[in-house]
Amino acid sequence: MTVITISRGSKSMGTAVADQVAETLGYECLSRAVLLEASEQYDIPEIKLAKAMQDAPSILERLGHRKHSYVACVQSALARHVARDDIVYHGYAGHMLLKNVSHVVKVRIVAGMEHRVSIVMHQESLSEADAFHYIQKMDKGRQKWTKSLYGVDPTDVTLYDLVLNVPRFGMEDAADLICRSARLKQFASTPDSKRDMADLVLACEVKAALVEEHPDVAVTSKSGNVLVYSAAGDRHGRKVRSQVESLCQSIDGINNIEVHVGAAAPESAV
Amino acid sequence: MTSILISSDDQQVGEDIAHRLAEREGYEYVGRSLLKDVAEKAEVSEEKLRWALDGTGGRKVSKKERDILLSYIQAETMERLARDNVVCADLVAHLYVRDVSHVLQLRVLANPEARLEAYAAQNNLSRKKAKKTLEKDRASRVRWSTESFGVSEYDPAIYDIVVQLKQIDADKVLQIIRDTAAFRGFQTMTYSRMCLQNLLLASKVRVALLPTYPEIRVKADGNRVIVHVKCSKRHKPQTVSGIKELAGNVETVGLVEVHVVSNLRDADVDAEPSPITNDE
Repeated sequence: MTVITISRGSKSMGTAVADQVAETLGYECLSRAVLLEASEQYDIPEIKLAKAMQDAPSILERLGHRKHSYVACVQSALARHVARDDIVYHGYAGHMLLKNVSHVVKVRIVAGMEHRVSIVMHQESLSEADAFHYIQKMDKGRQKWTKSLYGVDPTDVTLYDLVLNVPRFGMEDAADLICRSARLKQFASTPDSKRDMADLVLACEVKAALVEEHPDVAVTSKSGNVLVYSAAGDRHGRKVRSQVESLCQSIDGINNIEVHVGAAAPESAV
Repeated sequence: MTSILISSDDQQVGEDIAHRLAEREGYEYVGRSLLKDVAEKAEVSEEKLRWALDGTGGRKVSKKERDILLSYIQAETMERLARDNVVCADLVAHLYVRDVSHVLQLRVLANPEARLEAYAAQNNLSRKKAKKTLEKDRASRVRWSTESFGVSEYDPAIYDIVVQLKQIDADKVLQIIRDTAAFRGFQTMTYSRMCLQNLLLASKVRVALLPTYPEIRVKADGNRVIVHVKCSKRHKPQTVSGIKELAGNVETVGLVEVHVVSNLRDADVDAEPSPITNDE
């Protein structure tokens, strides 16, 4: 079992490559459908979730933390979905949402600006200059989103296992190379990696349950032992603790759950 | 047959992959030892060539001198690449070999955790300080590559593949390279070979011109050379004739076209030149 996340800049043939990879490997191809699942599970309109995953938070949104809550819900739905089966995911920020699981292959698709501009000129009937600005605007939006929520630049190649310049390969060869990489022994699931995935699912679920009222929480899980980190003070920490106690009953798989108030969350926390 | 350029954020990692690849595939390895030949040919110090390449040396190397030194390295590297079946590493060829379809451009990223730990241990630094230093180095490389070649070394779009050595190990990287080199798009064609020859000729003309005309862009198309030069109107006639003479002395150069521009950034070197050239 392998999960492949395909991240791409706008207009760099990422969707087509993802479809081809999924077809070649016989995997499910997942993108926006995860928003529907999150919408059903957490009773949040899909359009709000889509907006949360696309647009960088406005100043008001940054103050309100609602976006963090929506992203956490999407992350939880995504983790639960990919834990089930072989998946190619080419939706929002898969490389950020599915971290620390060794059988997740993180791929980024890039293309030179010239190539992207020519696609936009053709698709959107824009002049070269307008197409260039269109792409810049979309790229800037994605960077802002990722930076505001995760503090990283999505174009930073160290976030990925493999980055491919698709126009150099053509779609089929690019998909072929991704498939070969995904078949590497290093990306095969192991009992440990399946456990890590189960822990990710659990951590995401706990976070989604807490984040609306406690936007600063970060959660880790190791073999069902959940740690909730809250940067807030003692009084707020008590609220977190009382809410956390009820989670043991409502969420399956929790062996033990602890709250650490005022402690910095590790990098692996969701 | 494909030629392969390997770049890395860690010199040792890049060299290791390149050496192993050359050995496995029976390719010629072109690396830092080239600087010795360049130093002898150009009668410059090897140390200065290394400074120019690494972006170090501070005030000991002016921008003009750095550009000249890099042009020597570029010309010699292009000479080797024109032979086919070459693996080239650590000569920043990925920054000046553009649009040659049979040349595979690969960037290999060292395992970031391992690299950070090794760097901290080597330099006796705390993890935090080591991280900060590496980030500073990276910013410096971006600046250097953009100033010297107009592209950032860290822009993934200038490579065909970028691989991180985290879960993918060096052996698998070699396998990926082998698989990719077999793709049709990376086979040598007459046209791609011609593109490489054009880059080679342009690099030789730059070597001839840069000491006298530091602000130029050069493109070659067969034996035709197109030079964009920044100079004032007052010096236009002697600049044009000077460039034609120097460029014309380079082997295999036939026609030399000179375009005087006020700003090199506006010079569209890829555009077809107008029929009327600055032939004064």
